[in-house]
Amino acid sequence: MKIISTELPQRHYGLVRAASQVMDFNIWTPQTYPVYDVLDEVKPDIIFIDLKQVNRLIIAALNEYPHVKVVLFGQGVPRDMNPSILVASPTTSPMIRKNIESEDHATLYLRNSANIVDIFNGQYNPDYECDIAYICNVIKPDTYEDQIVKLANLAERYKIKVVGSARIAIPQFLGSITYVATADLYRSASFSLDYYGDQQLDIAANGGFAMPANLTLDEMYSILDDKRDGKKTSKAINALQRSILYSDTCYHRLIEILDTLQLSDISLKAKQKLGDKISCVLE
Amino acid sequence: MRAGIIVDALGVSQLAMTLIGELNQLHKLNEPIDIVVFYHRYDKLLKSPLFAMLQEQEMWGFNVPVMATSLATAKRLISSVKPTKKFFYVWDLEWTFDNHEFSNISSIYCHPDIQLIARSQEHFDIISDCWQEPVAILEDFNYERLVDILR
Repeated sequence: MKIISTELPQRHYGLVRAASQVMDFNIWTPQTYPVYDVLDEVKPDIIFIDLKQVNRLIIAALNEYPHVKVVLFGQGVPRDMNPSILVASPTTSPMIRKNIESEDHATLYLRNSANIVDIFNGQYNPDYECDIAYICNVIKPDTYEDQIVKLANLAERYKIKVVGSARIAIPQFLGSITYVATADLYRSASFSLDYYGDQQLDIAANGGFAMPANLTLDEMYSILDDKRDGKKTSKAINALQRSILYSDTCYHRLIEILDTLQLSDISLKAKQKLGDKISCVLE
Repeated sequence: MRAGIIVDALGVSQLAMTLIGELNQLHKLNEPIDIVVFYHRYDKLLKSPLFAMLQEQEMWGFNVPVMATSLATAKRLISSVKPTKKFFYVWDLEWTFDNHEFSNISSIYCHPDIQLIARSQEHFDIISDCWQEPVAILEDFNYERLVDILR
């Protein structure tokens, strides 16, 4: 079974990684690889495509290959396009939801998921121990100043480690980080800052505690000063970790899509992968 | 007393100028202190050294305290077997201006065999916050303090 995927929104990165584990997977960049060439040469069975990448040529081409299952990620379906599934966000506004439902397309409102393909099974590392860890892979210009101010203030009172591919100009920025070290850092830090709300499931799936960054500094201080309350906190962390591993991993989201596409063989393969993966943590 | 210091090179740099100046002053005391500087890359010297210089690989069989002065030299010091004590004099806060991989440099700064030395109280605070607490503060290779630490 062959699958190709265009670049999808960041929150679906884990889903794409999960698909690459159970199918013959390729990334497709429509700007550099024309749609007809892809369909003729790669011969995909499934295409994951972001609405932003869709144009009239792609719609026409996909209509000529009706056996290819198209999974469209976006908040609506362009005219003349017939995707097998439309994948939308569960936070879609009621008005857009009404529009989507007025058309006759199978729709999945896909929740976020933890990327357990890459960031998984974090182990406690005493060298990574700190009050706050922040993995910064993206800096949006409008939030940069706020991030610097918050991190600089937190660094004055607590032990913090900032890592990631986006450099933050404070001495506590300690370089880029691998996926393995990311999982270990989530596990070893008392709290992990989740600035854009896209890391909380990854943090919890590795036994960490996420702290949303939209809190004020005083609110953060009060949480950090309370700190972890030994057994009680570790019980809560374990419960949260289990709950995510049982229902909110990227494999779960992939299985939802595959079941809707009625691809039971691949869905079974994904379930086996998921079982193998989480059994080591849930033992 | 014998000890070693590893540097990347003794060419034109603040580290080299300071180190050569301080070790030359130490030599003038005529005390039985023998500090060897190991270099990774030979470079043209701006001051004549009054101490021994050897290629870095000689450090492997040197069974006395040895001090690294950069991440690269510290990494090689960690993997050498003979030195009796391994110090890392954090001359520059290298992680703040070079692009390093966190787990890689963490394994150097936090290595159980390595004892960190800071350059100033300000560096001491930052290094303690980010990695492990340095065992001493040594300002600009001050030779009296250097001997105390290496002894």
